[in-house]
Amino acid sequence: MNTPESRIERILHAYVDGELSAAEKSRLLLKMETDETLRERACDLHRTKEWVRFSFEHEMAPTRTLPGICQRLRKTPLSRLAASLLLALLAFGAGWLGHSLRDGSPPPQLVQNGAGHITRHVILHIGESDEARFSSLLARAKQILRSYQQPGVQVEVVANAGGLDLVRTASSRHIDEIKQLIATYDNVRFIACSKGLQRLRESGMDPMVIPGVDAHEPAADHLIQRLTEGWTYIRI
Amino acid sequence: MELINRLFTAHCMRRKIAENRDRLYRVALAWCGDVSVADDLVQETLMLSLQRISQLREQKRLNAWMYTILSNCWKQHLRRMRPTIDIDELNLSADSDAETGSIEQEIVDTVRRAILKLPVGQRQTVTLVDLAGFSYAEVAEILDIPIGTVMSRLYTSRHSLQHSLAHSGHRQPAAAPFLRSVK
Repeated sequence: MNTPESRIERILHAYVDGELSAAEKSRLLLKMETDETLRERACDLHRTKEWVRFSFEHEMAPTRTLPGICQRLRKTPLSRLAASLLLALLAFGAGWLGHSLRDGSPPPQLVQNGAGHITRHVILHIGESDEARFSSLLARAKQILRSYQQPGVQVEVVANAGGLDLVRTASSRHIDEIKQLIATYDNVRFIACSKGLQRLRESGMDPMVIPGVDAHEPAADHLIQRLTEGWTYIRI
Repeated sequence: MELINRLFTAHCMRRKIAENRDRLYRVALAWCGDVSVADDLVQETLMLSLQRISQLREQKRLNAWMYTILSNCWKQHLRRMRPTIDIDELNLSADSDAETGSIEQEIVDTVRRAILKLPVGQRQTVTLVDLAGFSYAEVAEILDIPIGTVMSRLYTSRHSLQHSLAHSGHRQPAAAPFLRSVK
């Protein structure tokens, strides 16, 4: 690999990848002026690079489009835009300050909306199969729901990967507790990752979830949507 | 003011994470050759990125950091699933309309197959440079390898790709001139 030929070859790779300094590039370009083989090699390398790029450039992730803030803004009258902007800023503040909170950390920030109501939009995310975490998550959800009963409070529990064991009928030890929460509070949602459930189905496991648990979209899509909207994210 | 800056930064970071989806998907697809696996890898990467965003100290490293996560997800996937699929049986065709030349499509298939036949390290390196547009230093950081290794992997992988292209029996689509007349 250290022959002069391989050395010049590496310089050519660096050239097509834009890695050469101005002086190195100048030296190489001058050499190429008089060396047809070198020009052809550079051209071949560039062609290969372009084919690699071209072979995938039309591929798009086969998932749903993300919620379009811009789309919503386009439909929003200008009179509400400034207020919405301020609200969004505050909401993102709540999200940022709470986005990496773990159980046991301080409660999420409060956000006041235009009507003067306190709003609290919280996502509790569980991704591991751990009984202690499950209990902690449910206790946390109850605490928020009981403490803030005014309008505007929304709590969503999102389960994916091992966390699906919390909401599957075949594995959950909290079926009655979750059913009761759903029946008691209309501002709480339990969401099971559709992709995770599909994987379980494919591996022969029972993907049935507790009645009332939503299982219509991948957890990642939902989390991105909520975080983009400024919800407070708490990982349990 | 500091709070506003922080809020704005957080907003931008999350938007960037979401905006990276297609680019991540292309790279993941080049690595695994399977649309559903690629989608799963990207979902997992996005999820982990969102969960761990507070661990990222420098905003400018966001892109490279996400590909590091993608690479780790890919390694985990490889450990879980020993490769049992014959590359020749994978459906590698990209979507194309009726007007797309069949030669072009064949070359695309050839390139994709050739990429999948590369050893994993070479495959990751060449796609991170050519598809994702990372510099050698960034690829070295993402894959946790020396820059010299990045360069030698590029040298070897492109040599293999050129060999595959040369021996695929295709000629460059091209003879027809793009411009018929110039005034």
